[in-house]
Amino acid sequence: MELFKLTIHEARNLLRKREISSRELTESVLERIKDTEESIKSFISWDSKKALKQADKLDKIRNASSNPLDLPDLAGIPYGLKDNICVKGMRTTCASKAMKHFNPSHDSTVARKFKAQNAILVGKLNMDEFAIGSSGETSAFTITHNPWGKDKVPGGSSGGSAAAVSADQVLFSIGSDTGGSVRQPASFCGIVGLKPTLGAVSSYGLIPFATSLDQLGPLCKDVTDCAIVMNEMIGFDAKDRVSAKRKHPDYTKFLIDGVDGMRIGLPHRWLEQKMDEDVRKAVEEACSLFEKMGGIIVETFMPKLEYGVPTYYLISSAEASFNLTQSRGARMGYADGDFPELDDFIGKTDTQEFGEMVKKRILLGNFGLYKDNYEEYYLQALKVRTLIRQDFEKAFEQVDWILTPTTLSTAFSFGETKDNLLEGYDNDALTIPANLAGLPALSIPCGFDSNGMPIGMQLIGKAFDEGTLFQAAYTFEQNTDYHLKRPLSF
Amino acid sequence: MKVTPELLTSMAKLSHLKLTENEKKTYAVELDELVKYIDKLHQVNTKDIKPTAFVHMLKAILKHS
Repeated sequence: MELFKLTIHEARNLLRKREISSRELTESVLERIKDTEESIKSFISWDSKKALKQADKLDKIRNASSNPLDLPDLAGIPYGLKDNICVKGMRTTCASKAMKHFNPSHDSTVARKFKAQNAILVGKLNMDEFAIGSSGETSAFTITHNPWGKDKVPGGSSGGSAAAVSADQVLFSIGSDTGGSVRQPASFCGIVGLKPTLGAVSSYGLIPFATSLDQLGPLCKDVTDCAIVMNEMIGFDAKDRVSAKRKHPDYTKFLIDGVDGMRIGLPHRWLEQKMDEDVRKAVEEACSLFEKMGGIIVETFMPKLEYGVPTYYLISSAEASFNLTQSRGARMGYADGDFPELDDFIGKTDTQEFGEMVKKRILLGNFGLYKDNYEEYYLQALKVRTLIRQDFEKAFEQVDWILTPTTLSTAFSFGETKDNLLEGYDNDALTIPANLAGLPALSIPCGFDSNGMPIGMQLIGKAFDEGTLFQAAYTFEQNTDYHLKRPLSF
Repeated sequence: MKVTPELLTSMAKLSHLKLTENEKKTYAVELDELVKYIDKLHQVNTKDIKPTAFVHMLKAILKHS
């Protein structure tokens, strides 16, 4: 049996029944990484010895247990973390030269929770530098390839996290989503990706890009796995300034096959946008399927969504310009060159360490915050954000969730958007609004284009109503087989 | 507002970025294009609309335990 191909729920059941050991599963995954990493390049770093040590520890616990069926859901499951999520004693680079030597002294809350479950952390995954980018091409260390087509990008910024799951290098991964950085790569790589409601999952230990928009989320092989991982991530955390104090349900209880009577919003304005015909067709077919299963399609009017991209640009850049001052080379141990003066050392080190895209975003952020521009640009963007939130509030008076394509196209070729501030973000036009409004949004596979590249659709829900999204997505999965397909191109 | 190389120099100083003359020229052109795109926001009537900085209220965390 090729154990690396298992989903979390399949592996969990075999581990609980003692039909496989965590060492066998982890060895299979590590062998898979060895065989495929040269083609995919998902990882920035990984530690086989540490992973096997963790697996042995879990096997000992399991063997000593009188009832292994009580093992936690993620016990013994190999996974990866995007390289902007801190793990004590494990290099965390944000794919930037600035953080090349950064070794955190603390665990992020999500890493701590997974450690407590005895999940097996295999390594840290590649990303766009400081999570700024939509293609995965701005990493300072390596370029990740899409497992479905080696000449195609994996998406970004969580490109390594998506490619690793798609290529069966890990059973699941965690990414961060500021404007679509979990959902867009999930869509490009043919897997499931969730951006939870802002505040549902602790962001403590995530190196921030734009604090009011950032949210950690799981990338998985199917919806069941996504619900399982979400159960383990969610919860109040006093260390996170935006953490929400509320009770959360068991999301696996929402894995029900049925959408009868659900009201599904379709913002026709989004479908009027210029997009790949294959994408449009796949989403229209998904609509028909939901209707056939008893869902009620309702056209929703959300006029301010077309201002999502410029609003996002200004707000995220302004927040990034502040956040990135905390992560500069001179402060994080990076120094390249010989500088006689301190000022020269700080100035030049800070400039050399960042990639082009990051520098442009810092400049744009400071442009928006500049004393002469503050009201005209930054404050105006915050007000438009209010109107976008209000569009969602009105829509959710009529519908249970909203359906859109995740992206306007399938994965594009390398070099198409590199260093172009505008083109990359056009493709995030459909994912950005959920971040601006703080809402949960899930991307699931819903077809393939004429070149065999995966297509994703997005389900946006009411705040803290991830459960409804899981139910609708699970229903779609039970009636289609897109999530079962795996790439063969590497 | 037009992004000129002079304005970009001010922005770079505020950002503690030491850019080359060539970078200043190139970035000024690119950012100017971007600002023209962002100017689209001025079409929206936001009179009496309150800004949203955070969708949830922030809590002050003074010390990590």
